[in-house]
Amino acid sequence: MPANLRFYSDRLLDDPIVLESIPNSYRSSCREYCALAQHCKQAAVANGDPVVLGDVARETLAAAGSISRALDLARGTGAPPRTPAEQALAEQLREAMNEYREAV
Amino acid sequence: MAGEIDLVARLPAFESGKALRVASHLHVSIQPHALVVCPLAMAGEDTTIHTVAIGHVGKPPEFRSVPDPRFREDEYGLFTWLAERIVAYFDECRSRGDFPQIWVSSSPAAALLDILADRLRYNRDDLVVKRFGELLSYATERFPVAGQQALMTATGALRQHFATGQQEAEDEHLGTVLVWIEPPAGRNVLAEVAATELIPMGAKTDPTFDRQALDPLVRDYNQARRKNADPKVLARRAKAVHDVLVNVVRPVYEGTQRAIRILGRLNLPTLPALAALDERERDEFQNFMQSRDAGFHLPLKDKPKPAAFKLADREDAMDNMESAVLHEDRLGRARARLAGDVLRGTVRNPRKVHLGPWRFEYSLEVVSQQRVLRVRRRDELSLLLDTRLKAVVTDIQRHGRTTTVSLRLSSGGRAVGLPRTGEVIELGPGAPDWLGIIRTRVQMAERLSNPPWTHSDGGIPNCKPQDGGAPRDLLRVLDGLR
Repeated sequence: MPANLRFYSDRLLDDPIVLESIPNSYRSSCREYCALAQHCKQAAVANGDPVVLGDVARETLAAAGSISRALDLARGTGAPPRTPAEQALAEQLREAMNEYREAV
Repeated sequence: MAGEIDLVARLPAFESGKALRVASHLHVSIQPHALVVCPLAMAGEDTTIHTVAIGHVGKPPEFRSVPDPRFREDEYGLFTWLAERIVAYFDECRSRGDFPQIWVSSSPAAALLDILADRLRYNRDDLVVKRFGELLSYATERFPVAGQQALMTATGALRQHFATGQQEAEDEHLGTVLVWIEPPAGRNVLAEVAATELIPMGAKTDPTFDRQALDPLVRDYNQARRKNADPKVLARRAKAVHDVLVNVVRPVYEGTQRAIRILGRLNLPTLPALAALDERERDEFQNFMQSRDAGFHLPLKDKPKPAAFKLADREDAMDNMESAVLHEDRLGRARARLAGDVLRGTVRNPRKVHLGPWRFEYSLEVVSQQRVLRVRRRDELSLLLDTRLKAVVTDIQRHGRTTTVSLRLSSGGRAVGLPRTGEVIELGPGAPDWLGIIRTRVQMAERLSNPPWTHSDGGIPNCKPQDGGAPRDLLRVLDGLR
């Protein structure tokens, strides 16, 4: 359970404070059925969550955790890969990035 | 991982707030005479058109709407009006020996045309509307075929050329894709995308708009109609409905036109395969029209044999299109390399063995460092630089990241020559075979001259083992059947 999660016994779900405090796990399919999809998407965008680029991106970039970190790994900038999974992802992204630059 | 190229393009697109190009060539053949059609259906009435905007590429639209499409006479009046334009356009294309091209905003609009074509082409009461349905069927029947140029969706065409900073599913909204491609200066692209998402760009109006603006006006019109109101009152109320609908459909039409302009302004070289695709489209259109002239009706359901032919056509089109993109578009080639469909490596041990008079066996090894490779023994690969050279995979050895693929040349040894040691080569699927479908059709006509027991009334046939037992090399026998 997230450390910053709080329970409000005296507030309702339509209260923005309560809404903000609810952890979310946005998926691309959420917008098909959930009224909160837009709210959760905004949170995902604010966090740079790879899910905003789709479910394939979410799975592929899971080791990086965020779009900015994935970009760092792809460009070889920022902190070096911290885990073997990040290392493997960095190689994969750099290879694809090189192919893209050469081809375009 | 599928779509690595698209993913690494989406990442910086998200960061910079601007879509990136993911094609080195133009993949669509934009006809200068193409017709842009933007229909909107009434909520809950999926087989209707409430309003439509229609016009040629680069030209202003004509609008037509009905106050309530649930009244058959009004709706058929709209269909007749639309039929006049579609029939005239198709006739014009036919007289020029060309093919018609219809642009819609996105897949839902194409699906709406498909439903309409299906509904109207069997109409017995109104021959004009029936003709409209038949002609529309040409475009909608071509739509699922890869590389077709008859019914284009603006979102689909843009997606082939750009990667946005949003999910692929969200790229189906034409407005948001246009914002990513041409972001407004000085404004946050994500906020702009969120605002644009609220504007309808498909084949339906917004439910809130329906409730608050459209429904009261339609109700007013219906009340007046029930009370046999003065024609002037009716016309005024119909115009009120028309005016609000035009405000909804106009941005869809303008967005579609803008998408076509963006593609035209890319100034990319056209994919060489487009010439063959245009030619095929012309043939398909001429055949379709001749078939209508001869009085053949479009079947409600395909019988097994025509269905098998259609499936073969679609498979062939898909293979050819994939192959064309791989051979002719640099990004397509890069995608195939990353996916392992193209083998790229250094040549080792090229050998030419003399087998007899004028008979040689050519073999070589290709050493690759590719992370992913989709190659199996017996696969036939072509040299991408010159597809006359073909080689069959005889062995694959993987040690760590290094893969050694052994190959025996099946053709092109003399015409192209054996690659030299140290040369970096790329091998992959053969070039598109545009005439292959003719051979396939001939072969299928022979095979399907007697319908298989699965599609006839004879039931399961009696099975009896083949004389002489099972063949020694089952794979070879199966290959022989291909």
